[in-house]
Amino acid sequence: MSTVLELEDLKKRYGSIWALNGIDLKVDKGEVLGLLGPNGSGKTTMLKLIAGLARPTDGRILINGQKPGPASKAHTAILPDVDHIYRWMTVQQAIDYVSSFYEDFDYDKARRLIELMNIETDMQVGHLSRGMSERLKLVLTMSRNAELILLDEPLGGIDPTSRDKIVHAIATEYRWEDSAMIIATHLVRDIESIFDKVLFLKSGQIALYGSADELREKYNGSVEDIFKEVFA
Amino acid sequence: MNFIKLYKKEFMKDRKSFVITIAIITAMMLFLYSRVGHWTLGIPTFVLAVTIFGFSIAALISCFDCMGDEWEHNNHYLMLSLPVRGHDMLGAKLAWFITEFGTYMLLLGACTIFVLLGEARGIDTINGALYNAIAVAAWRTYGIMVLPMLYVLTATGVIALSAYTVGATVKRFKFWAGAISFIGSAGILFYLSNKVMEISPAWMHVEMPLADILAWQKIENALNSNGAVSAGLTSFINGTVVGIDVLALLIWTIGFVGLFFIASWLLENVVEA
Repeated sequence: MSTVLELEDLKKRYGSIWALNGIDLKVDKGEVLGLLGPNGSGKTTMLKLIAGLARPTDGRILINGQKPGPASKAHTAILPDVDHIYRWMTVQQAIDYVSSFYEDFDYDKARRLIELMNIETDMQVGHLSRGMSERLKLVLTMSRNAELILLDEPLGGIDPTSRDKIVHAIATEYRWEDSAMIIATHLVRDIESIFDKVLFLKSGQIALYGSADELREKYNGSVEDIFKEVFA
Repeated sequence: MNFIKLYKKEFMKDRKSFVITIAIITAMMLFLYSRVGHWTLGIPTFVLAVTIFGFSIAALISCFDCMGDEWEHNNHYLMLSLPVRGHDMLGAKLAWFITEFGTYMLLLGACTIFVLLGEARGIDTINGALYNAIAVAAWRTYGIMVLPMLYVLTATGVIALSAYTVGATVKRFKFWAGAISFIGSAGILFYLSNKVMEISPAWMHVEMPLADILAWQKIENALNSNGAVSAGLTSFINGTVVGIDVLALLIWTIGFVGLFFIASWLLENVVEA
C-alpha cells in the first residue's frame, strides 16, 4: 500500500508548551486511523499541522510527497472542531462555494448525504442548530473524494441516536475506498469499530500505537477500555 | 479562477448592504437636491462633502474588517484550508474593497456635483454661460479625480490588509502588531516618497495648470461677460499648478505592491488558524 501521509519527528510549540513533541507516523491509502487522547493531548494541533492550518516548529510533514500548502490542500479534506462555514450563506451556497474549489468534490454524494443528514438546503447556516451545523460540516468534508480526510471530533454535536447511523455511513458507503482517514475523538465507543489503527496521544507524544485488532487482542478489551487504561 | 470565486464570495457577503448603501446615498442626494433654495446656500453641498469624509473613515475601518470578519467567526479555518494562494485571498478582498468603496465615492462625488450645480443654478449672479462653464469645470475635476481616488483606495487597502495579516501571524498582541505594521509601513512610504521628491529631477514632476483642470478660460469669459471677474482669483488660478512627482508615485507603488506580496506570503506560510 502506498503511503499518503508521513510525519517525521513532528514538533509544535506554543510559547513554552510543547503541544506535539516528536511524532513519527505513516498513514497508508485506505487506512482509518483513530487519533485518541484527552483534551489538550495534541490531537487538534496534529490535524491542523497536517491540513496546513498551522506550521510545525520542527520536523517534517509529507502528504503524497508534498509539504502542506495549496497543492496538498487540494487533496486533503478537513473537518475542524469549530463552526467555520460562513453564517450568512445558505446550505446550498456553502456547498456550491466549497465544491467550486475542489476537483474531487462529488456533488451526487453531497446530495445523498444532505438527505441522510436531513438538512434543508435553503436554510441559512447561521440559523442551523449546533447538531445540524456539525452535520453540514460532515457533508462538506465527506462529499470529497480526497486522498486524506481529517475529522476533528466529528460526532461532537450529533445526538447519540444518530451517531451509529452516521458513523457507518461516513465510514462505508460514503467513503472513497482509496482515501486515508484520521479521526480525532474522545467519543471512542461510538466509532472504534471503523478504526484500522489507533494512536493514543498523551501530552503531545505517542503513548500507544498499533493495529486496532491487535491492540484489542493484546489488552483483551475494546479500544475504549484501552483508552481508559492508557489515560487512567 | 480562484480569485474570481473568492471575489464572488466577498460580493455575495456584502451584496445587500452594498445595494442598500447605494439606495441611501441616492435618496440622500434627492432629498438634499429638493432642499436647494430652501436651506441656506451651501448647506446641502456641505452635508454631502461631510458624508464623503465619513465614507473615507468607513473605508479605512472596512478594509481591516474584511479580514477581521474571517477571524471573528472562525471562517479563517475555511479560508486557510482552501487550495488557493495567498495573493488570491488578499487580492479578492482588496478588489472587492476597491469596488465597494470606489462605487460609493464615485456616487457621492457625482451627487455632490449635482447638488452643487443645483445650488449654483439658483444664484442670481450666475448667468447661463457662467453656469455652463462651472458645470464643465466641476465634471472635469470629477473625471480627473477618479484615478487618484482609486489609487488612494488601493494603497489604503493594501496597507490595512497587510497590517491585519501581520497581526494574524502572532497569537498575542495581534492589535499592536497590526497597528505598528500599519503606522510603520505608511510612515516609511511617506518618508521615502518625501525624500525622493527632494532629489528627483525636474522632468519627473508632471504638472498640470489648475486653469486647464478647471477649464478656467470658459469661466473667465463668462465672468467677463457678467462683469464680475476678480483679477485676484484669475491670477491665482492661472498661477497655480497641480503636480505629481513620478518618482514618489513609483516609490508608493513599489511599496504597496511589495507589501501585498509580503502579506500574501505570510498568509500562505506563516498565519495559523
